[in-house]
Amino acid sequence: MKINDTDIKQIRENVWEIPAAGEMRVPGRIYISKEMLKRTMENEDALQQVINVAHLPGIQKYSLAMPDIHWGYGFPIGGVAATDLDEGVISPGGVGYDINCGVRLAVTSLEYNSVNDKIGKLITNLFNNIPTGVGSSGAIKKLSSKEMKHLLHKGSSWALENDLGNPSDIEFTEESGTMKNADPEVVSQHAIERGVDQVGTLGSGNHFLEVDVVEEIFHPQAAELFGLFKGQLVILIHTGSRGLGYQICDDYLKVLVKASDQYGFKLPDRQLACAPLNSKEGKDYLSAMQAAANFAWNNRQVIMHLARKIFLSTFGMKESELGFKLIYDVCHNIAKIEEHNINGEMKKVCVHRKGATRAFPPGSKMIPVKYKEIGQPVLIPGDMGRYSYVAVGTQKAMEETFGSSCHGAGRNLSRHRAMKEAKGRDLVNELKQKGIIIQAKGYRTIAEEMSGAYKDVADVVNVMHEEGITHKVAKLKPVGVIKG
Amino acid sequence: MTGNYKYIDHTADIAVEVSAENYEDLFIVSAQAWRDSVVDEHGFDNLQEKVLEFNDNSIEELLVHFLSELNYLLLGSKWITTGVKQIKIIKIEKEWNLRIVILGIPFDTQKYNIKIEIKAVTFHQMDVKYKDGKFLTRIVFDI
Repeated sequence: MKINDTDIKQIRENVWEIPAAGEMRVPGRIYISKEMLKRTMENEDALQQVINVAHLPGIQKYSLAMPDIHWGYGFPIGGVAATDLDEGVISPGGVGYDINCGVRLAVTSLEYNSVNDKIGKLITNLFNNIPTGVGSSGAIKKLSSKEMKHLLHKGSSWALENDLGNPSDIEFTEESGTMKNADPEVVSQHAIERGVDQVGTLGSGNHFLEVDVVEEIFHPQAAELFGLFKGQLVILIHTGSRGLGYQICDDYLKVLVKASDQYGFKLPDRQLACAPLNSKEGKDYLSAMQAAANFAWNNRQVIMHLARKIFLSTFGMKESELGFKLIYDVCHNIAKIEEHNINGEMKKVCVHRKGATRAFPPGSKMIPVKYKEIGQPVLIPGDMGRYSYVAVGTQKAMEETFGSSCHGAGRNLSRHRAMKEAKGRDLVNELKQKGIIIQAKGYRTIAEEMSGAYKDVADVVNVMHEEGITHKVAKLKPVGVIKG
Repeated sequence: MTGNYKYIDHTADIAVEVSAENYEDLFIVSAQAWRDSVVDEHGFDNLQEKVLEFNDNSIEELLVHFLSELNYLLLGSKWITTGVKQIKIIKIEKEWNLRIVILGIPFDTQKYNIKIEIKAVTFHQMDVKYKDGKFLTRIVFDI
């Protein structure tokens, strides 16, 4: 297969390489099946974006893409790149507009079969109490600018200070829910204003809160350690830093477009605007991005806490009976300073993950003590009509993908096409027939986000499993969904 | 004002193609495309004025800057832009300058509906060109 007259070399069954050519500083590497690669080449310019990312100054080893690769702004979604701290750059295009968009999985001790008659009521209560939709607000009181800045410092710990969580919630959140170098002083007032009333809100688009049942266990040892069992009722939350994060990305793209010119970077796409990691522009973006990451972790924490209270009241149970526990919270849009093996030498690099999930192995110092023997949980949501997956990180991910894996299914149809396909159908009833109750702000979201608009996430997860980057642990099936 | 815009298909987001006879109209039509994407048409009255001024290194950066500000005004300040009273775009050496007086009102979310939340106005495929007597560009809104 060729892209722009360059042969794409097959390295292994599901690993493909685009050799470095022209101004590319490293080769591109894509983890994908042959079938999926063909479809990607037919429809989109995502592979060209893998090539574009390879032009970034200081990029190390490869410009990588996960099997859920699809077109994005600057980096493709599913793109991963590590850059040298001294000679490399940081790019908002490698993080995305929704900084620290991520997923959180919490479990209960309930079996679905024992409460299935109450799921409808549960979903109604969740929908009525967790704000969803465009510009959603008002989950908790509107914060002052001063309080917002405190939150941007503290991340999930802010929720604890405000009785919106338990200490164990923090333990099972990536980075313990706080990036210490976040600096609210480099966050614009515009961004603060977009975020002050959005703490504890889901937002719109592909964000959701799902009540799932564990349908299948693939890795009993990991499932037991994570606290998962077949038939169990669990909750999956997918959202990010909301308007605050969008505005921070927007603000810094403008700064870095100018900086890229100033530093003389020749980039194939303006959305790859970047600045040296050791420059003022680069450091400011990293600190602002970390503040947005803290907002996002706190946002998912507050939503989960609200959900926990709703579960307790709906089922009329005590906390000890419900057994509501956070398994893990992991982000899939971020840039982080991490230590990796670069050509035989351990060194710190800036890993950009844009639509890619951190997947650290057993023994990592960066994961909760409880999971050290098995590895980090990797949460991979699918679409609302099929299933999602829990997987676990491996040493091979550290060796090959800077400890990264896939993050989701990826769109198959444009929103416009999905709307067309949905015309004349009763999607709410179609989901009901499959045992899934949905509540959303408007029918448009249900149509745009319908199951058929997405690729099958199983294909994506299987590539990572077969290549040993992550191992499948469990499959979750939705029984109730709330969306914007 | 001359010019028009049309929606074009995009996998995940909203894309429009805008054409106009001069830069000023290109900006006014682009603002209209943004507004039509986010809110329904209403007969807004008691309009207020706001003055915006930006300097950038290219016409594309200036357009993204301007539309991003309109988006922030709606989602951050809850103020909707309904039209343009005055606009002037000039280029001095390498720098482009926009001075614009926009009209609008505080956006009452109880009264009006935001159709779609535009996360950001992107630089993707934005390239202002002059062809057959018209300035053309594509704008992609991330939603």
